[in-house]
This record gives sequence, structure tokens and C-alpha cells, in this order.
Amino acid sequence: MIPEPPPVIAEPQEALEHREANEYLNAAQNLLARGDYEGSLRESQKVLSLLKDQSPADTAIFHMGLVYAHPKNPKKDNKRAIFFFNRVIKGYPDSAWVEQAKIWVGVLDGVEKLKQVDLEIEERKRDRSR
Amino acid sequence: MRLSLFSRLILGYLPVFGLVMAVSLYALRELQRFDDITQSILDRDNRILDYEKKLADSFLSQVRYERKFVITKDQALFREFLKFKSDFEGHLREALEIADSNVAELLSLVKQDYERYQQLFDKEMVQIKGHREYPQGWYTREKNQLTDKILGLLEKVEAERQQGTYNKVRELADAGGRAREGAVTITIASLAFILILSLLIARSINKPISVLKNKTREIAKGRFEADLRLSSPPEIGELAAAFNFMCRKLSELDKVKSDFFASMSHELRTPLTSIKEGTGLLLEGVGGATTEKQRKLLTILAEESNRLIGLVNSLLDLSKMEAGMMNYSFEKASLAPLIKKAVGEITPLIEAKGIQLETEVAERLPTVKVDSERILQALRNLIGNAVKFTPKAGRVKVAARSVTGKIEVSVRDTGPGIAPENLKAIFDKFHQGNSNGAFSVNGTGLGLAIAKHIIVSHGGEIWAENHPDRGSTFTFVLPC
Repeated sequence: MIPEPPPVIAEPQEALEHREANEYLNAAQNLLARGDYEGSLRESQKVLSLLKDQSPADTAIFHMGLVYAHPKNPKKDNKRAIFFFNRVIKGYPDSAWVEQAKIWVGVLDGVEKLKQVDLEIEERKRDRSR
Repeated sequence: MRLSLFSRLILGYLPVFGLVMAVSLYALRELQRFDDITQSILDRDNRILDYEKKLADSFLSQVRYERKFVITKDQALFREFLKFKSDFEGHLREALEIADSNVAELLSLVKQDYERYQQLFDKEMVQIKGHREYPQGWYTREKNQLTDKILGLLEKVEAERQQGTYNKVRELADAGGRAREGAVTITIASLAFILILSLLIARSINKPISVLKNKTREIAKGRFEADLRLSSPPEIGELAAAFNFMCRKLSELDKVKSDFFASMSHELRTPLTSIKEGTGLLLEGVGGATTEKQRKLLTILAEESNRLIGLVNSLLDLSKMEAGMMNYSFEKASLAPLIKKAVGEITPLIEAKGIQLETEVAERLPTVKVDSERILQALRNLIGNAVKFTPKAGRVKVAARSVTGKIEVSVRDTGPGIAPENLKAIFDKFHQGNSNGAFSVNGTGLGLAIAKHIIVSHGGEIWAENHPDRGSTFTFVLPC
């Protein structure tokens, strides 16, 4: 006699989405570790399309900030990184990533200001040499 | 004071030397000015421009590190800031040392603003070190304003120096133009001065030399008056004195010569004439009957006396001519009768030698101004010479024609001719003209020399030519 398979117990929709979101997040982190920055951003974006205001959306946004701040990313963009870190700070004030996001914003903002100083000085030098 | 030629030349060329020195000194002075201006551009203007760039660079670097330090509070950036601060202050100090008043004024303003900038930053440093909240934006604006001001002043320094360099280059161009005009003016003036001076010196030398030359011509014409009055330059004066001395000596010599000719005429001709006359009388039988042998001897004596008288006369004539003491009495006459007379005189000798004589005198021969006796003497000498050298049964041709304002007379013979090297020397006294010894003819060697003197004294020319076949032609021309 063939035994009967166990009955399928339907998971609640919310739990299913959280599990799926965590899978996307894990994938995003793995892709980042492998240097696939575009893929990592796509996986993070999937998390956001599943969960807008709930955890781990804050982790996904923080992760996207990291991808843009990553020094090896050919599309490294400090301003976009600051934008994502600021979204974590403002959109998820209770998130565990807020403090780290603030540090990143401070560092990247400083870098941008230094860059701005260099640009201004170089422009002045160029003006003088004309 | 009479200046010698040497002194004149030295004194004359001293101003020239002075002018050349003046031109050289002027050129040297202008070159020194060019050098000074060029050096000033290189040493001052270019260095100020260099310092201006260094000041701007070090100040901007200082601003860069100051602003980065304010952002990051990183001490390494502050140390870089201090390094450029030290550079800036060093450059500013060195620039102020070589700057002229205008640039120094601008650099002083730079220094003032820079000190205000430093004071602001020092105050901000106090705030930063105290970790206090402070109006960073206000500090930034103030510092930016001062930065703009300092950089603006440095730009003015650059513009000022560029203008200064431009002005100096223009000054160089103007100075070059002035130097060129000055040099050209001085050179033209020098050349004019040298020309005038040379003319004056040359004139002061030439004038007495010209007087000397004229006096020499007078001496050549036989006027020996010692009347040359030249005292300057001293060298020419001495020459003039020597000339006068020479004239006096020549005059004395001339008198001695005249006395000699007078004496000779008397002392030689008189006894010869006596011998000739005595011999003639003896031949005529005045001294009694003479034997045939005695008559032969007397005839020889008479002929030799005649020959001797002729020789003495020729010698005296030639001497007078050479001494310029022969007197000529010129009057208009036709040469045809003279030729006819000369030919007639020699006819007996021609007939004796069996020579054929031709005469070809052009009709209506113009008259010439001549001393007839002397021209007749020249004709006699030339025809006699031709007959003398023409062998028996030979030919002599005497021709006369008019040739463009002159009368040409030629005597052609069929004698032995003249050696080519003797064609000119044939007219020298005592020159025997037979060429190759085929003819041995006795003669005094004075006839042609006398003929040449006579023709030349008439303003004419005489020459001899050989003929390709045989014989020679003696030709003279006289101006109409």
C-alpha cells in the first residue's frame, strides 16, 4: 500500500513574501561578494518591490547604498549612495542600519566636499592660466 | 705759424678720430642702455612674473589644504597647509625685495589681505580645536572674499609687470630708432666733415704743387726767373726755395751756354772761313801759278774746309735747338717753293749718282706758318739723307699733300731701309741709320736729329717707315 503524502499546509502570504525577500537579499549579498554589482542591485530592487516599508526593505536599501559606495564598482556613485543611506535614516528611523548609514553619509559627504574643494581650486588655477 | 704737411694731416685727422670716437661712444652708450633694459626685463620683470605664479600656486594650495582640513580635521592636511603657508611667505618676501614701487605697493596689499586671511583661519582653528559650534559658513565666505581679493591683486601684479615689460620693449624700440637716427646723422656729418677736411688739406697741398708744376713748365720753356714765392706748407716752401736755387743755376748755365755758342761761332767759324777763303784764293791763282798736284791738294783742302764748316754749323744748330736757344721767325708760306729749292740744290749730286728723282707736290697746297729757312734746312737734310743712302740708278720721290688740316711731306728712297729697332732711334743725334752694312755711308749723324727738332718746334711730327719691297720713307706733317 502506498503511503499517503503528508498534507500540504499553506503558508501565510506575509511569511511567504518575507522568505522570498530574504532569499533575494541573500542573493544580492552573494552577487556583491562576487562583484556583480548590477545583479546585486537588481536582487535588492526585487526585495523593495515585494516589501516597501517592512524589514528587510531597509537592509536592501542600505545594501544598495553599499553597492554604489563600493570602491570597486565601476558605476560607483557617492551621491546615489548618500541618497540610499539617507533613505534608510529618514524612511526607517528604527532600523538597525541607521547608525551605520549616518557614518557612511558623513564619510561620503566629506569625500564629496573634498572633491568639490579640489574642483574649485583646479578651476581657479585654470582661470588664472587663461 | 706755418704747419708742416705731417702736422696738417695729423691735426686734420684728429677731429675725424674724435668724431669716430664720438660715434663709437654713442653706440656703446646706447648698447649699454639696451643691455640694462634687457637685463631689467630678465632679472626683474620675469622674476616678478615667476614669483607671481609661485605666490598664486602656493596660495591656492594653501587654500585647498586649509579647506580640506576644515572639512576633515586631518592633521596631515594641516601640515601641508603650513608647508604652503611657509612657501607663500618666502616667495612674498623675496618678491618684495626685487619689486619696483608699483609692484611693491600691490604686494604690500597682498600681504595685508593675506595676514587678514591668516587671522581668520587662526580664529577658526580655535573654534575647531575647542570642538565648538561656530559659523563655518561665515568664515568660509570671508575667506573666499579674501582669496578672491588676493588672487585679484596677484593678477594685477602680473598685468603690471606685463605692461612694464611691454613699456620696456617699446623703450628699446624707441631707443633703437633714436640710436639709428643718431648714428646716421653723426656718420653723415662725419663723412661731410672728413670730405671738406680732405678737400682743404688736398687743396693746401695741391695748390703749391700746381704752382710748382707751372714753374716747371716755364723752366722747360727756358724761363729761369727765380720768382717762386711759396712759404706754406714748409716742405713745399723748402722745395720752392730749391726750385729758385735751381732756376738761378740754370740761368747761369744758360748764360754760359750762350757765351759758349757765341764764342764757338767766332772761334771755329772765323779760322775755318779764313782757311776756306785762302784756299779759294790760292786756287784762283792769287798766290801765283800752281802745279797740278798743288791744285789737287788745294781742292781737297777746300772741300774739307766746306765739310768742316758744315759740320760745325750743324753742331751749333743742334746745340742751340737742344738748349732751346734757336730763334725762329714764323710767317705764312707755301711749302712748294721750299721743296723745289731743296730739290734744285741737290740736283747735281742726283745726276752724279744717276738717281731718278720724282717730285709730286699737290696743287693749291695751303700755306703754313713756318720759318722758311729752317724748314728748307729740314728738307735739305731729309732729301740729302735719301740721296745719300740710295744706290746708283735708284729712285727718290719727294711728295707733298694736304691731309685734314695738315700738310704732309714725304721723302721716299730705294735705299737699304732701316732696321725695325732703329725706326725711332734714327732721329737721335750721331745715330748712323744704315741697317745691315750693305751701304757704308759717311755722315755726321746730325741731319735727321736737326730735322726732327725743326719739325717738332713747328708743332709737327716726323717719323720713318720701311717699305716691304725696298727702301724707306721719311714723313713729316705740319699744322696748317
